[in-house]
Amino acid sequence: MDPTTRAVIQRHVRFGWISLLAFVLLGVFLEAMHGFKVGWYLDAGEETRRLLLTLAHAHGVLLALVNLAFAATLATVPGLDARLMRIASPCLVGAGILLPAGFLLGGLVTYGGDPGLGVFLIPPAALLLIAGVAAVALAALRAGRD
Amino acid sequence: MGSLLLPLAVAAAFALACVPLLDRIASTRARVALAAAAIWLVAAAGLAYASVRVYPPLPAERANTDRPVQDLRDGYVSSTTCRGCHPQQYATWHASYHRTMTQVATARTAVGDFDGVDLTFHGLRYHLEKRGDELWVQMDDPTWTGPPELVPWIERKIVLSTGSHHDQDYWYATPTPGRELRLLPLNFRVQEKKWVPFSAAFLLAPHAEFDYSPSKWTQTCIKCHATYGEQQVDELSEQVDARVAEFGIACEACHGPADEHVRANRDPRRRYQLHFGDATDHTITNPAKLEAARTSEVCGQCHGQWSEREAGTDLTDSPERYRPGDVLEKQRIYQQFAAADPSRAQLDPQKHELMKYLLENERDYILRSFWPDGQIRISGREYTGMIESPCYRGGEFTCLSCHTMHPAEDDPRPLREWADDQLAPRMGGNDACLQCHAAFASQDALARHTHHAPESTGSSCYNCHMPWTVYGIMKAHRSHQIDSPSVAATVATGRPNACNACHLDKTLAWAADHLASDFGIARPELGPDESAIAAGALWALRGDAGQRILTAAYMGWEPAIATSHSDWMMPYLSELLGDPYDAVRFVAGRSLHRHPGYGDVAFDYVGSDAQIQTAKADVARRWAGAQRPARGAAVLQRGDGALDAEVFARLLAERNQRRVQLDE
Repeated sequence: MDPTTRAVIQRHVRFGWISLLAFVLLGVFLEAMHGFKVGWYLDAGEETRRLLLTLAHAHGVLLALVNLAFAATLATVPGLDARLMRIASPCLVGAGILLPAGFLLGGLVTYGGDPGLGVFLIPPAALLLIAGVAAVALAALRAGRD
Repeated sequence: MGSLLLPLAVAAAFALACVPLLDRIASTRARVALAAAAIWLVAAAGLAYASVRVYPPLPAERANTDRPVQDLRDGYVSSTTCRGCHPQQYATWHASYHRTMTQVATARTAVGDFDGVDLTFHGLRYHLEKRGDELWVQMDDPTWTGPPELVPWIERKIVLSTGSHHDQDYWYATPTPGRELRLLPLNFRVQEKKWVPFSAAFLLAPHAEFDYSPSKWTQTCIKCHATYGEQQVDELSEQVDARVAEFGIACEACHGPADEHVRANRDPRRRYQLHFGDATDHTITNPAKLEAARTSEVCGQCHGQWSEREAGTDLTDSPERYRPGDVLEKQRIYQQFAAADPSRAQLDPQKHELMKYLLENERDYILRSFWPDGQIRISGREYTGMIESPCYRGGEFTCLSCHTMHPAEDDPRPLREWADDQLAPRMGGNDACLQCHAAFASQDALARHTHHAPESTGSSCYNCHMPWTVYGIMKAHRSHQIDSPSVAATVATGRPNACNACHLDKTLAWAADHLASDFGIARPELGPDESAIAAGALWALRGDAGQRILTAAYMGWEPAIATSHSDWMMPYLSELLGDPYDAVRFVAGRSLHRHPGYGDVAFDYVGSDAQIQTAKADVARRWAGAQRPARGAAVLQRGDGALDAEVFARLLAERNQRRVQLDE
C-alpha cells in the first residue's frame, strides 16, 4: 500500500471514529432531553426542532460509518482508481461535516415550520455526498472489471 | 379498498409472469434477482392486503349521510395543513377548547359516560351505550306529543358533540333524509362527572319550552361551533345539506381561508424573506396585525349578539359573508340598545329600525340576553359588552389587549391552565388595566382610588369594573362591559352592583352612601327594605331567577365569603337549594359545598323533592347547632342570632316570579 493511500485511510479512520463519537454523544443528549422532558425539545410546538436534531444525529452517525466504510474499502479492495479516490475522500469528509451540521444548526433556531439558516448547508452537503459515493461506486465497478 | 386492487393485481401478474421467464434467463445472478423481486412483490402485496383487512380505511367524509360533514371548499384548507408550518400555533390551538367545540361523537371524543348507563329525567328514560367506537342512545322519544303512556322507545346513533370544557352536549341523527340533527335532552357536566337534563344546563323556568327542533344545529350552532359552516336546503325535497370546513373553531375561523397563503408560501425564498423582514404576509389575515376594531371583530363574529342584515348570509358562500379582516357590521347588525335612539337613525338606519322594533315588540326576547338597560347578561357575548365600554371607544383596546390565542413558547403556564380563559400572561390581575391606567400602578395611588387595601380583593380592577353579572353554562361570568359600580343601575335593572356582590351582608343604601362619599356618584332614591336589608338577602329571596342565580354564585365566591362572613348565608343557600329553577339549585348546592362544615351535605339538584327537603333539613340542623356570632338585622337575624322568619317569609312572598330564560 502506498503512503498516500495509507494517509487517506488514516484520515478517514480518525474522522469516522471521532465523528461517530460526537454524534453518538448527541444521541445520548437527545435521549436525555426525552428523559428529563425538556420542553425546548419536546413541546408540541417544537416539532421542527425535534425533527432537525434527530436528523442531525442520524446523519452524523451514518456519515461517520460511511467514512469508516470508505477507509475499509481503500484498505481491502485493490486497484481502486486513485483519481476517483482523490475526489471521493474530500467529498465524504465534507458531507460528514456539513450534512449533520446543517441539520444541527437548522434545528437550534427555528421559524415555525421552517428550520434556521443552517439548513442551507444541506443541499451542497448532499451534492458532496452523492459525488463521493458515486466516485467510490465507479471505482469499485472499474476495479471489479480489472 | 378499490384503489388498492389495481396495484395488487399488477404485482400478482408480474409475479406470475416471472415464472416462465426464469427458464429463459441464462444468468444465474439475474434469475436469483428476478425471483427475489417477485417474492418481495408478492409478500408486500400480501401484507398490504392483510393490513387493509385488519384496519379498514375510514369512509370518505361525504359518505356520512346522517350528519353534517367536513368539506374543504372556497379556499379553506383545514388545520392539518396549517400544522406543517405553524407547529407552535397548532399546538396551542389544539390545547384549547375552541378545537373541541364540535367533534364527531365517538367513544374517544365523548366526555360523558356511555357505559350502558340508564337514566330517568322528567319521566323520560334513557339508555346510553357504546357499540365499538360508536355512541348510541335508546330512549323514550323526546319529540313525542301524544299520550305519555304511548311514548315510543326509539334508538338513535349519536353523531356530534358540543363542548368539552364545562359540559358536553350530544346530537343524534334523525331517521329522515338529510343532515339535520336533534339535541339529546341530556347534558354531561365535566367537573361533576354527572348527567343532567338539558333543561338544567341553561337558566330555564320549569317546563319552559326549549328549541329542540332538528334545524337547531344546522341553522344556529353551525355558525359559531364550527369553521365556515354552510347550509343548503333542496327546494323540492326540503332536504338539508350542512357542511363545514372543519368541526370546531379552527385556524381559519380567525385567520380566514388559507389556500392562497399555502400556495404562496411553498416558495422558500418568500418564507425566509418574511422571517427576516418586517413585511406583513397579505395572503392571510393575522388578527393581531389588523387595526384595533377589526381585531376585536374577529372574536366578535361569534362572541356577540347579532342579526344578519340579509337573512341567510351567515351560511352561504356569498362574497357578502363576513370573513376575518372584513368590517363585521357590513353583513351583520350587532344589537345595541343605544341604536334605537332617534339620534342614531341616520348613522345606521337598518340597525336603528331593528333595535326599535326589538325593544318595542320583542321585549321578552331581548331580555333573554340583555339587562333592561342594554348591558349583555348571557355568556359568550363578550364582544357585545366590550364595544359598549369606554375603554373600547378609546380606539386601541381589543380582545387581544388581555387575551391571547397562542401563548408564547416561554409562557410558564401549562397550556391547560391558559386554556381555561385564554388570558395573556399577567392579565389575570390589575396589570391588565395598568397597561393604559398606569396612574394607579403604585400601592398608594391604588388605595386612594379604591378606598380598599391595595392587596385586597377590593382593589382588584376586575372586581369593581367587570363584576360577575353575566350568566351561562351554570356559572357567573365577568361582565365585559367595563363600567363603574352603580346602585342606581341596580335599582333600575335588578343587576347586582359590584360593591354588594362582595359585601352581600350590606344594604344597597350602604353601598350608595360609600359610592357617594368616596366617588361622588349620585345616591338614588331607595325604599325601606333597600335601606335596611342586606342586598344579598333581598336578591336571594325577593329577586327574580336571574338575580337569585347570581347571588347563589356570589355566596360561593371566596372574596364575598371572606368579606361578608360565611355563617349567615346558610338559610339563604338552603332556600335556594329548593328553588324552582334547576340551575339555581345547582349553583346554590355548589356554593354551599364551599362553606366550612357544609362540604359533605348530600344534595342532588335534580333529585326528588323528598331528597331536596332532606338536604335542606340537614343544612338547617347544622346551622342551628353551630356556634356563630349574631350578624344583625340586615341579614335578618334577631339579637339572639336566630333567623327573623317573619321578614324572611315576607320577602319570599314578594319574590319576583317573572319567568326568566337565559339560554346562551
